Formats: sequence, structure tokens, C-alpha cells
Amino acid sequence: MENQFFLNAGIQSHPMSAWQSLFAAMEIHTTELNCSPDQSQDCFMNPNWEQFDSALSSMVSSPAASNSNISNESFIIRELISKLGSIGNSGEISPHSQPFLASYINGNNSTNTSCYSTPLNSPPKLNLPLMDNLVKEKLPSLGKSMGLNSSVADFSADPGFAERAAKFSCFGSSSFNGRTTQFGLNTNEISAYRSNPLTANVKLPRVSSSPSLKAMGSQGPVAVQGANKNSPWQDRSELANSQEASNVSEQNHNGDPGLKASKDSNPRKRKAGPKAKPKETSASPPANTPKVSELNEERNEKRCKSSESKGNGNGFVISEEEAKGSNGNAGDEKQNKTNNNNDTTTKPPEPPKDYIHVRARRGQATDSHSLAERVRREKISERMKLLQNLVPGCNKVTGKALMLDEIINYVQSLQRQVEFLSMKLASVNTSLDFNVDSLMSKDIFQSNNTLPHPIFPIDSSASAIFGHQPQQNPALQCSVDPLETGICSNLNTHLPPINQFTETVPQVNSFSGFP
Amino acid sequence: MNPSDLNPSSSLKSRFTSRFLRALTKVNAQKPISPSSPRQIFQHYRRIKVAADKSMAYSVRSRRSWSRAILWKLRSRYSPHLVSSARRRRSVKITSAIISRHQGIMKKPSHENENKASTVENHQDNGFVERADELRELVPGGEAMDLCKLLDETAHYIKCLTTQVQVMRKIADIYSLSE
Repeated sequence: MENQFFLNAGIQSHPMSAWQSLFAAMEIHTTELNCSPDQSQDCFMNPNWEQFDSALSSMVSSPAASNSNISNESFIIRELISKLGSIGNSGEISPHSQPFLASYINGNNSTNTSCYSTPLNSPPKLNLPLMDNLVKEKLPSLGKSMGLNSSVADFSADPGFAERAAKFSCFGSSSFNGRTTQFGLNTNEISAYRSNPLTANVKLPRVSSSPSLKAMGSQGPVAVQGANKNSPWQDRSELANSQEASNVSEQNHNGDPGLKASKDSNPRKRKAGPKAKPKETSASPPANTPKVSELNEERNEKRCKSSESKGNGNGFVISEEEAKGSNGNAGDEKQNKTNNNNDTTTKPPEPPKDYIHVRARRGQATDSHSLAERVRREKISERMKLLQNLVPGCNKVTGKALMLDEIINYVQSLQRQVEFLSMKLASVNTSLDFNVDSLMSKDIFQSNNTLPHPIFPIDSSASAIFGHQPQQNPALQCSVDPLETGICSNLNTHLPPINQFTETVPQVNSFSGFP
Repeated sequence: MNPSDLNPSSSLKSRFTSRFLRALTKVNAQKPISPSSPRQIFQHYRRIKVAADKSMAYSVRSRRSWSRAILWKLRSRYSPHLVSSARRRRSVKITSAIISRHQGIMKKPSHENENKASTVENHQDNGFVERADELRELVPGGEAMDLCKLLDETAHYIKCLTTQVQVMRKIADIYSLSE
């Protein structure tokens, strides 16, 4: 019922799962976890990802053969790139990414572009300014070094490429960091790569600054090669870990403007990361982390997507929060947060926010009370937005107090209208039977009586209509909206607490105007 | 029933319309042929209004707090008059249970309001809490709700009120035109 209601109110919750998955596919800031663990399956089962899967697998298998026909590769790769490009284009990728993709699609080196496209297209918006420069310088060099016959393995063996790819694939974060340089198809790596946001890798240390990226970089192309068919992405415990780590790196890559700033704080975070990680993974039972990380993801989403269309993000978040709110236990969440906070406070001096579990926003308090308070406030603001859609004429009103005023006025006017109409019905000559069958005719259902939209703004001018009091009869006969409100307000001035009076005869004398 | 032919989904509007019309016929059956005293007119009007609210609340069933509150109020207020002895016993039992639960709930808002006032005012305008209380008075059953739920209930209540107004206006138009 609530979902339906919200649907009617213009907000979509569950029907947006397809949209969400598409959005997630496009907006994968790598670390950015668009989907909660509940919906991660949806994210990765959406057709885009399946296409990605198939294309990736086909592409990957070809270099593994090492005798692949370049034409096949290029075809597959171009197909993949076009698909990713379509995903990106449909998803309002920033202008950086589009020429980026285009350059890849038109790239001469199919293998190069393939390797680039997979790690780079999946987080289309990630590090784009950096990527642009690096990519452009890399392409020609790679083209020369690789040649058309180079397999992906050779490609990845290029140390220079590894370094540069590291910088590209900083999204890779958790899955790559800490791993030894292993080439070849390692399903774990691949799965971790594939499910970057939901990586299934065991070790998910903090990602972040460039030194760590170098290690990651070597993993990047390798992971690309593998096709993850048996994706353990849905593994919840690892998912939680990956989310945490990816959220960390997500903080680092908070969109283009925040990117450079975040890089400075990376070393600090990275140092604290490995220390904190084992503590946290041990402290927080995996069962609880999904909830916390869900909450955290939401905040991260909200934060990272703040530049995006706010309505969409909020809508998505609304559904997340509702689902979570219905399932989650507030007490557990607070407990988790306090646990996490305790864990984090034991670490060496850190930036004020705890970015591991709680995912407080930058520069905001992180104690459990304020977090819960913030969640509550956000819920309230969501509901206020819904009400804004319902109540006509309050789009211009800003501020909760004024909105509440409008809402109160509207509810009062609606209630008065009900009273007025019931009086009108009482005054109708009841010699006519209320023939139910005839009334259930099309008239009632098809004729959409316009909602009293004009009534509401006219309500303020009801005082001007007080002079119409003697003209109640014509008003009763034809529902003229302004007169109705005027009369309603008049009647109410005479019978202010109508609901309370049952035996007040003198008050009834004001009904003299009735037939 | 005809509405099912027209609206197979049995929307709120159709449910309310059917119920309201039935209640209206019942109320009009009670009404004396020629209303002599204003008091009778007033009573008649009151009955119709109650019938409208009641049918709306029944259409929503108990899915919403405000509808539950209306139904509870109606039963507690009108059960002595309108309900037979057997139903009265049941309704008394129900109402007593509801009353005790309601009292338990009613005690909460005093604490909640204190906390809310302190926390809300920290973050929001000062006039916010008073307005929230005003809204609480408007929405039936709003006293026992926290702000978040209150806004939810308000939204649904607004939707139902607009439906009610639409249907009632249409009925009134039909009958006033056919006079």
C-alpha cells in the first residue's frame, strides 16, 4: 500500500530496480556501491551487465587462446565498447567520459582498447581528468609496443602500463590491493575485479593513494582477462568487506572536484586502513555489516551523487532506506555504529569522520546519535517532498515550517469542503432515492472532477468572499469553488468546532440560509 | 455491483462511493419527511458527515493509523446508540482494548514530544514543532505518532480526503441538478 501510494505520488520505489541497475552500471565509481547487498543481484543481473559479461568473457577467452584472430578480438572488443558506450551514453556520463569512450572505440589497437575499456568504462566517471591525459599519452605508446598480435598477457606484463593502469584503475581499490602480482586467470581476482563494488576478494584493505595503485594496476589488466562466470559476488561477508573498502576509496574518488583534494588525505587513510581492517572485520559480525554498510552506502550514494540528479538519487535512496527501515532494527544499527565508532576511535588520529563503517559525510559529526538523527531528518525531508507533490501550489514554498503551514491549510480546507458537501447533501431533497445503481453510472467515475486546485490559493482570499454570505443558495446549486470556500469559512466561523457541538441549538440558527 | 464492472481494480474511489451511497440511503431513511427544527437539520447533517468519514475509514480498512483512529472514535462514541447488545459487548471489549493500548501510546507522545522538541528545534525552525502539533490535531489519530509517521499519514489522509471531496461533490451535483 505504501509503495503504491508513493507510486501514485510520483515516487517510484521497487519498479525502479531496473533503472537502478542501469544507473549502477553506469555510475560505478568503482567503489561506489549503488546497490545495496539486497539489490546487488539486481545490479549485476541486469541486461547491461550480462552483456558486459558475455562480451567480456568472449573477449577474454580470445586472448587466452593467444592465437586469437585479431579481427575477432577487435570485433568483440568494439562490440563491448559500443555496449559500454551505450550504457554510458544513456546514463548521462560526464562529458569527459564520452570522448574518452569514443577514443577507445576508434582506437587502433583493439587489445589496448579492450584492456582499457573494461576497467575504465565500468567506472566511467572515475578520475576522468587524470585518465584523459594518461590515456592519451598511453595509447600511442602501447600501440607501438604491443602490435596487433600482442596478447593481453603480454600487454599486462608491460611494467609501464602497470603503473599507468594503476592510476587508472584506482577504482579497483580493495580487490587489487594486497594481492601479489599474479597473472593468468585467477577466478578470485577476476571475480573481485568484476564485482568491484561488491568484490568477493578476501583481503580488502584500504585503497587509495597512488603507491597502492601500482600494485593494483598490475592486477587490473589481469583481472580483465578473466571472465567471471561463477561469480561469488553475492557473498555477503566479502560483500560487506568490499563495500567498506570500496566505500573508503569511494570517498577518495568523490567526483571530479573532490578528487584531487581527497588524494591528499589518502596516505593518511591508507596507513590507518590495514591496521583498522582486521579489527573491524573481527569486531563486526558479518551479519550486521550488510545493514551498516547498506546505510553507509546510502549515505555515500547520496553524497557522491549529490551532483547528479537529486531526484533520482533521492528516490533511490528513499527506496533503500525504506527497505532498510522496514527490515533493519534501529537498535542494532546504533549498536553497530557505536561498535564501529569505538573501533575507529582507537586508531591513530584520523580525519574526523569514520569512513570505515559509518560513512559519515565529510566534515560532519560521527557519533551514533547524530547519525541516527541525520537519517531521521532525511526521512522527514523525503516525506516533505512527497507532500509537496500532493499539496497544490507549494512548489515555490521552501522551508519546512512554511511547507507545514501550507499542508495544514490544505488539510483544513479539505476537511471544510467535506463538511460543506455533507451539508449540501443533507439539504438535497431526499424524495429522490439514492439509487445506487444509477449513481454508480459512468458519471461518477469517468468525470474527473477537477481537484480543488483553484480553491487552495483562493483560500487566502476567503475573507474577501465573506460578503457572499447571503448568496448561499446559488452557491449551493452550482459548485463554484471560490464561493464554496467562502461559504465554508463563513459556516465555520459560525460553527467553529462543529465536531464538538451536538446539542447547540442557538448555533444552528445560523443555518437560516438553508432551504 | 456496478463499480466492479467499471473499475475492476476496486479502487479507493469505488469502495468509498459504494459505501457512502449505502450509508446515505440509510441516513435519509431515518430523516423525517419535513424537517421542522433546525436541530433536526443539524442532526441530519451530522449523520451524513459521520457517514462520509465512516465510509472513508472503512474503505481504507485498518491499513492506516488515521482510519483506525476514526473507526475507534466512532465505535467508542456511537456504539451505545447504534450497536446491538451483542455487538456492543464485542465493541466494548474492542474499545477497551483499544483504549488501553491508546493510553499506552498516548503516554509516549509526551516523552517523544519532549525529545523531539529538543532535537528538532536544534536543527529546524522554532515554529516547526508547533506546526507539527497543529497537524497532529488535524489528522485523526495524529497524537500518537512521531513526526515521520505523521507526515506519512498526512499524505495518505490528503489523498483520501480529495477522493472523498470529489465523490461527494459529484453526488451533490447529480442530485441538485436533478431536483
